[in-house]
Amino acid sequence: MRMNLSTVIASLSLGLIATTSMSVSAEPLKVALIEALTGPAETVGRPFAQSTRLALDEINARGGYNGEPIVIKEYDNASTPAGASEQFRAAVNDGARVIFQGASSAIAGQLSDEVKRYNIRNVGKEIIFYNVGSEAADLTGEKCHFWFFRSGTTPEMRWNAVVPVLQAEGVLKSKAFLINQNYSYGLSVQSAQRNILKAKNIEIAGDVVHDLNKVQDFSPYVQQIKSSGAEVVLTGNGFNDMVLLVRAIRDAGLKVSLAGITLDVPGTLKAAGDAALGYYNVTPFSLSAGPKMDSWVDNFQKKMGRNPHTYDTTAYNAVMLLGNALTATSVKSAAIDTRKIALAIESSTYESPFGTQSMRKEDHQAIMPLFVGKASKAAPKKVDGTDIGFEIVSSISGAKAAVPVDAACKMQRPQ
Amino acid sequence: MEFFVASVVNGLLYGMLLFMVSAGLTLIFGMMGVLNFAHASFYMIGAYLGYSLSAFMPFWLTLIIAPLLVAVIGMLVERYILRAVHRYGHMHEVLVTFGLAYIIHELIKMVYGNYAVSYQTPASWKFTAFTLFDTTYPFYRVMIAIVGTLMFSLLAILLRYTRVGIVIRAAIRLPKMVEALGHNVPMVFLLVFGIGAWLAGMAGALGGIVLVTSPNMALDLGIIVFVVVIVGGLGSLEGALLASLLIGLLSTFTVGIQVSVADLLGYLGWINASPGSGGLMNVKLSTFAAAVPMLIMLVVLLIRPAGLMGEKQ
Repeated sequence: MRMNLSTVIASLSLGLIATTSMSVSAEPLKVALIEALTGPAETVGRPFAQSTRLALDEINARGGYNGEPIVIKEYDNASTPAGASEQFRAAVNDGARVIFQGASSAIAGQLSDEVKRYNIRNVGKEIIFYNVGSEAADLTGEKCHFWFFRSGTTPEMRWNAVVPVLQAEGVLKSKAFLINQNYSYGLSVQSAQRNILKAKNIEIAGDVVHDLNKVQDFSPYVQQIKSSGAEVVLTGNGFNDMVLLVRAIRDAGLKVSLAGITLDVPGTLKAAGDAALGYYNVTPFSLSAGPKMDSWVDNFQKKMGRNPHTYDTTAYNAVMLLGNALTATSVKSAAIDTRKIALAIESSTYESPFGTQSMRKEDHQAIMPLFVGKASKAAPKKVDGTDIGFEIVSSISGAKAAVPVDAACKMQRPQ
Repeated sequence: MEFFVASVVNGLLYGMLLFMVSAGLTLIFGMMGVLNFAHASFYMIGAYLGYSLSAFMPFWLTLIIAPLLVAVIGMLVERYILRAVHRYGHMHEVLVTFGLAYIIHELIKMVYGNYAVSYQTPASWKFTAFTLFDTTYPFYRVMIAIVGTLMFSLLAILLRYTRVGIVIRAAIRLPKMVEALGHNVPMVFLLVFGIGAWLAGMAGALGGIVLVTSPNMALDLGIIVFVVVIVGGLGSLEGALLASLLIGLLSTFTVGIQVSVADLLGYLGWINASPGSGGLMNVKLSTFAAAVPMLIMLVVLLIRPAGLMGEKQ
């Protein structure tokens, strides 16, 4: 058997590499935040990224994963699905095994597809996509797959929660008006509203969709609300589309109530002012949830130098749920096994200041309690630098807020 | 009847708001021919200055000072940035002003943050101007329409009947000749640009309250003001007014009409499409409200390429 010098050196050095990597501790878990850090969705993406990081830092402070601190890296998707796709490839090259994202359902859909494809081709090196707040229904419906987890709510959960409360309050008796944004998320909201109103035998007096962020004058819509005779306006609108709608209702002097899901988003109450008083907002958190929440808010303010809002609590709780799954599967110096982590997430729970958060095995949709709040000056916790806050009208337990698994979700579990 | 009257009033009020925002651009782009993509940014600066100043001075004083400050900023931009690139043609102007718009956008975000600020109607201005069919119309929105009308009259008189106006119009059409006659043409351009920026600042300081004062406000209106100027015809103040009102009225009426192609054909007895079954035939006309200005622009450009009141070049 002949052996030349180079083969000897090569085999020797190979052996050397093998031994060194054995003696050094295990590889750290690398995670990627592929978030909208610039562009139109920045206002949503930044708080998601900041609070995801806050929670990951806390998980690192209690020991990280497999005895190593989790390595966090941020990638800017520039608020577009194409940008997210590009950054996904960069994150894969950097060795990321868990991906976080929350702003924009369109981007979440793109990333979910990318992850699904990648995992089919790279068995044993699968990536988990942990979504912290995109709400379009199809993510856990038609598009659902084993490696995707949605830790925020769905439109169905929110509207199923708020409509009975409006009825119990005596605000909604027989007629409702629906106004939503004309894109994937807004249409999900519209269909959720239609379903629950039909189930509760309430007439839909008006049902319109409009372009996202294009309408400068909502008075013609208010005119329609008025002539429809509706008692309550239900809307999934956010940011400008919400502020302008609320102001147009006030300016027209129309006596109508409103229920939405973005009244607590920064800038909204500030810009809408007293026009929002008496309106309802349904969220998976409440600043007035009790002393546990107070101390959480204090801690948040100390670390971030600002008040937390919807996106912060959603992302934080989401990542802590994952953190408990990591702690449960952490073995010192072991190799990273995302399949083990994914299975652990399915049985993980997290006790947030609002109640228990968990992940449903069938469609990887998080189960969590919801709160219906009412904008009022009497609320103990003020929002957005105004003298208005949200009084809790009703708190709905996670089990009651959950909606059945979408029949379109056919999840293929790994063998 | 109620629908018709309310739509006309809403459309006119919205149209005047559009005119106020685009009046400055008519001067700068329409008359001087300077492609200024940062015009909507001047409007944004006006709104933010109005918000900052109104915190420590009476609102009427804010309305005087904020637009003047924007005019100064505009003149500095003309003198030190645009004049340097003007002779290289439109491409350079577009690139420079595009970059400027980005820089202003980022600066605003650095100073005021990412979210909307609370720029509200002052308490003493908050009252109802008139009531129509139980719908109230706040004084503030009516005032915007009045200010818009004043702006229009003032500009029309200035350009048409004063000596300064004659020099301005001449300097824009035949700069070499006017220079030969002993007028300071660069000075005239500086002045016109300043007035344009002043108008944008005024629109921002007033309109920032009705619309939302946020870092995206320049983006939100950036396209529509160009549409107004092009539909109206380059350089025509009357055209800009007409285009604004047209866009305001048509947008408002489209929103109110919940009719689809299927409804129309069903009414004529041609087909019997069940509503709610989806598909292109069942898309409601109101869904296209935001596309109406673009549609008007397309039609006008096809039929009258110079715009409604524009002169043939």
